[in-house]
Amino acid sequence: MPSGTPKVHTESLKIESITRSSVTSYEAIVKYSSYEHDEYGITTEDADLIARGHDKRLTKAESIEKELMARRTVKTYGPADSKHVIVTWGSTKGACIEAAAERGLGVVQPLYLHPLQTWELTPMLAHADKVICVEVNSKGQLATWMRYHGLRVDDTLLKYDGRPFTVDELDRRISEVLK
Amino acid sequence: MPAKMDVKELNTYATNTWCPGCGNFGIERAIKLAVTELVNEGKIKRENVVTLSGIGCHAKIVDYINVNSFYSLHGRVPAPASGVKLANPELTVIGFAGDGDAYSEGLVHLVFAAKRNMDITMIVHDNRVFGLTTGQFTPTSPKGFKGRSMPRGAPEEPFNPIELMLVSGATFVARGYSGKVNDLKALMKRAILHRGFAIIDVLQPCFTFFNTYDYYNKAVYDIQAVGHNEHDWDQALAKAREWDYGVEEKARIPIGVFYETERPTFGDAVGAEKGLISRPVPVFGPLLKDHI
Repeated sequence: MPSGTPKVHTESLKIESITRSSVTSYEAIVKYSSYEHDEYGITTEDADLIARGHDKRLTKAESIEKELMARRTVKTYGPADSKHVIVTWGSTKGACIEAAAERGLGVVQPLYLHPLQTWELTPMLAHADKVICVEVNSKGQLATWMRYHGLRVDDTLLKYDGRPFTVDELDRRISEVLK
Repeated sequence: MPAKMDVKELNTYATNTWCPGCGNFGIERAIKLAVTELVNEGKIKRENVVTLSGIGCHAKIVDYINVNSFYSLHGRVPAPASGVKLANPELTVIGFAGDGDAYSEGLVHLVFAAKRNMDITMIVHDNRVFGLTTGQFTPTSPKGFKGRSMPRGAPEEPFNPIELMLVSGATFVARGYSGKVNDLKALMKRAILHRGFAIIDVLQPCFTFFNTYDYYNKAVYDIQAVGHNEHDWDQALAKAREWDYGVEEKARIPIGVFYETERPTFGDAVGAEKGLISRPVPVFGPLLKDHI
């Protein structure tokens, strides 16, 4: 070990054996860094270490996905086998549930956007004749994101006048799409 | 009686990449001496010291000191420093920041840490230029400063961080100069031992992009040596206004402790009562366990 090396290293780049000590133990000097760093937490410009740092962070993303797979990350309302399905996110949920209930449609609401829960969404949407995204923004952000992940979206109902959807309005617009 | 710590124990193996002649070396030397002396005097524990830095040339300092550290984001030092102190009030929290870091991007963090009298020490490496990004003007660059982003000269007056910190509620306000390492060390020791928000604006020449050595060597004088009541806020403010961060030939630049006072810290006010401090370490879920 080079002289001046902290006695216990904090963030091993060996992914299988990551140990971190808490501050205030004399045996451990803990160095955290927002920069690319070596296994002792010292900043580095070393090409190999930088690439390994990226690899390490990507495995964290995999862990997050694994953890999400173990929980329920998509909420559904109404019948699970309706002919058409409404997909929405955020505060549009309430109006969607009411409008959908009047027509006997199912509503699907992903709770996390990244990673998008394709493992749950794919089977939920597989049977639908039409998948309709209802969103309060001008570009159909959820629809774009779903398509990016290979999910089918047939129609988008967007509203972007600074006001939320009302049930009546949503009912009318759904009927236009389903004509 | 434990063996006395040698200042060399604070060295690390990290390669120092500051330019030869950089004012940061004076700050690094002063903080190492200050920490060593405070440890040997039994006033702080080395294992309780947590240093933090932002982004910029100054920020590399945490790689060069062998104590706990948190190399944070641009301008954000007072935020994680506050968190560290509230999470464990036993720790001695020393934040390093640059002038581009603390006084521009992170200004609101700094002002609020002072307002709350957060029990942390902030050491600002004030070279009055963005050095790491090769020479743009900062909030303390003098009017007319020709930098990469203002080739015809900065049209703005600099602001005076000593004045700003006084009116923001800081309870220890000082200015140091990296060319006077022993004086700076003494200031740092006082700042670290001060209970409450302590800040030292350290004048630090950037040898490459704003070399102010000759100017500071001629202009600085120690206010404690000429008599200054550091417990008088009005006198401190008047002293702070003696120099406006310009570059006038005849300027006299006061260095030393402008102001020190006592008032309850943020930790005193909310910590103990609301149970926000000294709470047990949270139990991490399986997700985090994979990576801790």
